[in-house]
Amino acid sequence: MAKIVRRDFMLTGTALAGLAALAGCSGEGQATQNNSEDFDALAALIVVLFPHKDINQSVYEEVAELARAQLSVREGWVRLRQEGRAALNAAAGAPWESLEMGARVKATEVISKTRFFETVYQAALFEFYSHPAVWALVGYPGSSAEQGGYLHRGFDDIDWLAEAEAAP
Amino acid sequence: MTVFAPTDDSVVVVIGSGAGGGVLANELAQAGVDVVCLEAGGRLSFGDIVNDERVMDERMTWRDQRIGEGLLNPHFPAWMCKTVGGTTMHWTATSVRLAAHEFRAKTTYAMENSSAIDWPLTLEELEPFYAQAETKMGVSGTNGLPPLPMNNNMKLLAAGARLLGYKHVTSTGVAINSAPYDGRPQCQQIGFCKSGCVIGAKWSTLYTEIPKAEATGHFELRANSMALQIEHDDAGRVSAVVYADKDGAIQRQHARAVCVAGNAIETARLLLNSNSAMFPDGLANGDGQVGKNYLKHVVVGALGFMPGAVHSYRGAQQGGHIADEQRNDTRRGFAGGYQIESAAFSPLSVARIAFGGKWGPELTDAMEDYTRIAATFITGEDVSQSGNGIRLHPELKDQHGLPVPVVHYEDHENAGPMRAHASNSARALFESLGARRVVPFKVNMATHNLGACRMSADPKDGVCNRWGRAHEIDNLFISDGSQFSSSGSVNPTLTIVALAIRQAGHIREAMSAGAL
Ligand SMILES: Cc1cc2nc3c(=O)[nH]c(=O)nc-3n(C[C@H](O)[C@H](O)[C@H](O)COP(=O)(O)OP(=O)(O)OC[C@H]3O[C@@H](n4cnc5c(N)ncnc54)[C@H](O)[C@@H]3O)c2cc1C
Ligand code: SF4
Repeated sequence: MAKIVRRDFMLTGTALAGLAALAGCSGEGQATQNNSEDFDALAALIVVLFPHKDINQSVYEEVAELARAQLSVREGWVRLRQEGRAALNAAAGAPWESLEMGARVKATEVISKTRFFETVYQAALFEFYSHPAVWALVGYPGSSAEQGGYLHRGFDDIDWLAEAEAAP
Repeated sequence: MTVFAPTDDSVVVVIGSGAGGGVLANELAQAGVDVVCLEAGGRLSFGDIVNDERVMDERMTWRDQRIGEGLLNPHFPAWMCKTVGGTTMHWTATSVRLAAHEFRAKTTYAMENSSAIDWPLTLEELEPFYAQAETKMGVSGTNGLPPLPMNNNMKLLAAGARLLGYKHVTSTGVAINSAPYDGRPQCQQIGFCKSGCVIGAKWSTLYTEIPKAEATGHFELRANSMALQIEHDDAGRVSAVVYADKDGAIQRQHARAVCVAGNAIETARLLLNSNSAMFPDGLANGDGQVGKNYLKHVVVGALGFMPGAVHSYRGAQQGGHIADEQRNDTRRGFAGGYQIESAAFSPLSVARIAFGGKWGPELTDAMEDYTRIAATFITGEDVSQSGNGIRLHPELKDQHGLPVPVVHYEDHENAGPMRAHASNSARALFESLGARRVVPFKVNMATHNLGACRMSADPKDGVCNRWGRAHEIDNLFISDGSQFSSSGSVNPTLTIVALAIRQAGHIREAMSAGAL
């Protein structure tokens, strides 16, 4: 298992679009031929990362596809993916996908400091919390200009402050 | 459309069209001075601005390679724009004056292990220019404009502030139209300020200074034009700017004077990249000061998970602030002060910034509370250190073949206690209103890039004088936040604009006096 923790893709800054794609973009695009086994594993890993109860499996699959597109153009991805899969299986003591959810989480924890994990995590996070279905779940409506903004739609409708202020 | 000949050496070349460059260029053009403005980015129109963070970051964000060191993100040390209008497209428009004591960092704070200096300028001297800047930008609470109506998040901060006994809580000091102003509409509380304001209610040079300058007939904007090097004559005065045009072809614009406003990192980088036999370490760098003393503010963010809905994404993303902690009061355990500002984060920003690295239920439980999140963004005085700065990478080159900038930043020992105090203030504020949980977080990416070519009374301490005029080269000007002698606690742009207005007056006078 890789011991070096590299937080290359950790953008602890802001939610900037495409920034994840800034780091290392070249080559290996051709090596991304669909390999359905990998694809399923990625979606399953994203379920472990962001286990919202009310998100449909198809959303995880879509996010996996978007993340894969991002990852596949990254230098060294194919090797990293292979190392990562091997590390996951080693941590699981069996093919990772064959495990129950709880055991998958435990094995994922074991590899959570690897560069593979960081890389997948950043790509998946970026796509997952930009997905309309996830926005709908958390209550974020996205674009508002076409509805005239919030000037007449509740920008200042908070109604519990007086009560909170009066509370001891 | 005005077009100047490349050989016309009577023009002033301004590099950058953001807060510093856009304002300076317009002020000069209004006074009849011919200006060529070189802007690395392209020109958007209102139709290109949409409520989509990802799309707008692709259209506006500066993505050329940079290296961050120390506490900075290694791949993305600073967030700024490459587009006409510069970072006034991304900015959230908080516009507050520095306090008198903040112009005297060295005297006031008397810090150890610091390269702090006092500004060669006082608040009193800058006040008339602050007033002009506020008029130009339509700052709420000035020029007859009411305070910006407070959105939910700001109302919440105000309520918490009252409970904590804070007195200076306001939604004045925002360069967003609280009423129609200067031909631009009132803010519709759309809530995508960081992605560029769809209706132009937020001040940005793209649709204020730039078209106004164009209307004078004394101004030519060259978009998609990246300045690569500033050249000089045998007397050591700057004479031309070499740049790559939209097709990548190399061009040369002659100049009577050159004003650099590339947003600190690029300003320092351009001077360093303009080395020559006469100036082996770069322009205006005889004392090795270019790129030194870079400042970015001590920044703390905090989220409060509140008992009721906040919907902090609704409305202006930074529509007010609390100024009580701006004072200098060393009983708090640190020098200088900080500002507590309203903030708003999209789900992606919450996940990435506040919870960066978290996964599993720890993250998803918090995300499912998204509508109950209240947010604050705190900026505080950054104590100057000569080791913080910008230098050129010895090998890595960008698409133009220019060495990429390396930005190094470490905390001063003053930062830890200030950050702890600021986090506690945020916690107390949210908890006073019943927050179940408060999550403070660090931000390892600069949005305020300052210092790096600072103004100083003694030429040995900095790069330029009190007018932003290079100590070493009298027709070279620093026209952005790089001039700052110290950071102060407040967001810098109002001061950048005030300095640009003041510098334009100085340039005009020097020209009339035959001294430029
Ligand atoms: C998300 C965000 C929120 C912010 N909110 C606030 C706020 O609320 N209040 C506040 O005061 N400040 C805020 N800021 C900071 C503010 O945007 C900057 O202080 C301000 O825009 C800096 O002005 P400037 O002229 O130095 O640089 P910019 O406005 O960035 O303009 C520099 C321009 O120069 C161009 N350029 C650079 N190098 C070259 C070159 N070599 N050749 C040609 N062109 C070049 C760039 O493309 C850019 O357009 C915020 C910043 C961000 C990122
Ligand atoms: S909140 Fe106001 S300033 Fe911000 S984008 Fe919307 S209309 Fe523009």
